[in-house]
Amino acid sequence: MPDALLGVDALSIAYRSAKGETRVVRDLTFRIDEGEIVGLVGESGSGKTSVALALLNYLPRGGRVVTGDIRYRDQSLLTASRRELRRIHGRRIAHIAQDPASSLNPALRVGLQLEEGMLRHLGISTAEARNRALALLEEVHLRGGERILQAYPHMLSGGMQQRICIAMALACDPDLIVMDEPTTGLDASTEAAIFDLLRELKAHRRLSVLFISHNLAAVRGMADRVVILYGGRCMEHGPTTTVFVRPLHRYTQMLLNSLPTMRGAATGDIDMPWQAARAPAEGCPFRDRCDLAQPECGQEQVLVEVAPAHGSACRRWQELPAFTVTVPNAANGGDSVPGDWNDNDVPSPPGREAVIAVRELTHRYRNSLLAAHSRATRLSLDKVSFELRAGEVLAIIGESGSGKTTMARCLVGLAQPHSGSIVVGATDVAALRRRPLAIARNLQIVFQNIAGSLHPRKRVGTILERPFLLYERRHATDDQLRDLAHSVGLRAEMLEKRSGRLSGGERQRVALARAFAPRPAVIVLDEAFSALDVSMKMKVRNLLQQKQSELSASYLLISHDLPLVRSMADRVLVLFQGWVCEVGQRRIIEAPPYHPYTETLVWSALALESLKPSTFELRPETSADTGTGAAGCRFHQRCPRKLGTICEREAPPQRQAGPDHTIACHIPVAELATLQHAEWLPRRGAEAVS
Amino acid sequence: MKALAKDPLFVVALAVLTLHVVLALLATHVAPYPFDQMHYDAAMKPPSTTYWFGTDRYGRDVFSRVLYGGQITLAFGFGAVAVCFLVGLPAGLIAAYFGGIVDQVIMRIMDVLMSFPTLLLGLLILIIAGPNLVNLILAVGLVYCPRTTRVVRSAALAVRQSTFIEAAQVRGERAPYIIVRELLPCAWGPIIVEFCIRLGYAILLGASFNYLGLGVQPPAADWGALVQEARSYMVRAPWTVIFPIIFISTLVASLHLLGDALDEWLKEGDVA
Repeated sequence: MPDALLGVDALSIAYRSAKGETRVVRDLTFRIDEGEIVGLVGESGSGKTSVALALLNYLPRGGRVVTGDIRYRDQSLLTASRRELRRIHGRRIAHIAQDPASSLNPALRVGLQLEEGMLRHLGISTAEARNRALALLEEVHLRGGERILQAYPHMLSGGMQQRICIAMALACDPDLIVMDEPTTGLDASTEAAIFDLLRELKAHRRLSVLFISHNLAAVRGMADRVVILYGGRCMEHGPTTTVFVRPLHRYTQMLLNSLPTMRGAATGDIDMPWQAARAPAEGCPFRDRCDLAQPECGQEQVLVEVAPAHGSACRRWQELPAFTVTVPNAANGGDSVPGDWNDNDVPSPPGREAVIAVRELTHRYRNSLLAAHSRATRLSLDKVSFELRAGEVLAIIGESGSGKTTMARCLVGLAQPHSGSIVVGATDVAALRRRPLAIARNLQIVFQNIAGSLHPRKRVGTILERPFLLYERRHATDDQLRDLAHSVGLRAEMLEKRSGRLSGGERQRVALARAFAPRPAVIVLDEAFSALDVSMKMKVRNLLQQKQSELSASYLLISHDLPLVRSMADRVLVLFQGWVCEVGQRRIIEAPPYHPYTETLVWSALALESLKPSTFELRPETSADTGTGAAGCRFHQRCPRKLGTICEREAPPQRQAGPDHTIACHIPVAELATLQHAEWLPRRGAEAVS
Repeated sequence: MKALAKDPLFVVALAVLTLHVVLALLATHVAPYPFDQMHYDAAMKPPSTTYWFGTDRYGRDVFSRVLYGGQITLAFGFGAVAVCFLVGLPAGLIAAYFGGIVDQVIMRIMDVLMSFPTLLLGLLILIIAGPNLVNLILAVGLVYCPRTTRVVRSAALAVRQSTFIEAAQVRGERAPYIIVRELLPCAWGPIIVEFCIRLGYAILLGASFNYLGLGVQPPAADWGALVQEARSYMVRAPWTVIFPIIFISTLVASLHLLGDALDEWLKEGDVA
């Protein structure tokens, strides 16, 4: 075999702490050849970021490579001198960090940061560097040339910042780019656009990329080969098309099984125990979550070559139940596009009364100082009306800044609406300063920031008992607390622990248990899934569904994760800049007609699964959405289907698109449906998916 | 707690502080003479086996006077800090929790108090109220309470942003519960440190007032007053000044070190 571009050989990484050394990566071997994208996939704590940092010689204090080697072409990066490393890093191996906002210096102009590396590594003149910088901007599809080079990072949107970071990484024409979760924190449409760009660059430049991510769909779309990490060990590796279609490790099977998708059924039927705090150090790290584990799994596992270039660390790979993922691609994608919306329309259960009725709710930020400087006074919520019915899951979707979190905060009383009403039961709570306990009891919330929503110094038992003390003025019995803990898969010993000592997944479950404790009628889930790993997401979703039938509660699911929404919600409400553009049954995100904004959301989500229709172009990014004039449609500046001046001048009408389905758009519903169906039907064969 | 016991600075500081407190409490038993007993035949004697720290110009035993002085010094130190926290703790917590206009009113009042130089404000209060131990405690407490309020407020403000405070509000908890049971337990770190350091400052300020003669009146004397009494002949009898100074400085230093060590420990506890 020829020398790889990058070879990682039996790499082990350990961190030293007061308690001794902890190995976070063990015996990891993989290679990246020229022009190849290798995906390093793992959940939090799998050690994937440590690998990236070791490649860059940037392990934090206390961390060190214990054994193994990392070779760039024929040179070991571990024994190289500082001078040699400086020549390699930045020049030959570039890095794109997770958070573009914090990897750009806010005090320096973008141009300077972009040219810096070229001046340093290539020894070219300033003028030359400037020219190359302009060419790079072109390459990453940033229009505006000089103007962007003169800008400071904060003047650019998140997507534009990440494009700048990509341009910086490309500046010295490197052989290898290490990307550590490059799109975390970006909106789906921005994320899809960035992935498009990366695919294009790969084709043009023959780039090699180490693509580190927990986003399976993105890796499936991007990578040629994948390495699946769990507990610091390689579980399975091989070509993406093999590993993600016919996985031969139970962990990979479980991951793929629990991944909600935009097409096909989300299953989640391989039932795993809850994630333990720490994977076992010896033997198969996955064995205490594996439903097929045997005592022998405690022995040291070896990677078995199950097929050429495909390895699995499962000793029982031959006995694993058959598991095949039908990759939705151009060939079979068409079949799963639901034809007409009438076909699979599940009518909403009739006669369900509303538990919460929101009428014309308007919210604006009161800080007049800030408002004076930003674009006029944009409303964060503008006359939003909807109702949450008994026993249903209503999802509110939209990009960041769409007002969905403000909506949640208004509902639970953390934000004061400007006008409008929120009727819970028979009481309008919108204007109340302090809500009656009976209403607070019935309206629980699970926050996005799980770790922060539990008092770190209190014991789990104390936290779970509080709802009983508060709402019923009595202590909970030990049995009740134990049942509550069991219902979310926590052992009774956990009740004695302080919440600050729990793992992320355990905290999430404590937060859920606390929300369930008073048996509320409504639980608001404010991006409650966004911090969870793939496998946890499905566990928590299943738990929520089971609890729903037990308590007959309604959920208000605030999320930007469309596949998840699709796997959970009964009805969906689409918000754009605080304005409801579409509301209806779940299938409004599954089949046309869509509101044009919903369409961009859906297609961004599909694009992440490499299912993008070929004729549709996402609008290029603008630096900021300028506020709209008083009258027109809010979405007209970004709308791919804008009709003309009517969209700028007149507010769109509310059109009935079916039973329980409203679209606010100037384009008639039937026309939308035709247009959007057409997007899928022709040219499907042309779009090949890697 | 284990890590704390291993910290040599903390152990030494705690030992010194304990020694001071014990000596002050047991002054009546430990001191060889009453603090005001004069030995006319032994005035201005250097340290010896009879008079460990020497004698002052009236022949009073400096060792005994320093021990009794410790009672006064520690009493007003703790007293003044108690006044500080009686005002500053609730004021700071309330200002941080409610914010807005409540915060503005409380903090602007504190700003006004703080804009006076500490000594001048204290002098003013003592001159109006008359110099005695109780007034001294009130004066020092009042002078320092804006600073305590600020520290408590900023400690609480950092916690105020946490999601668990919002979670408590959504749950329907009342403000007093949230302040005492949710906010305060997470703000203890800086508050305990403030307590130790403020105690040091209070003792120093009290000593200053006593030095100026505005505190306890002769023949009783705290460490500050001892230095003041001895000032005029300290060149001839340096021991009369040196020993009270050693006592003040070791006490204040131990309090500061204690505060630092506790701060460090609490921070680590949060990380783990």
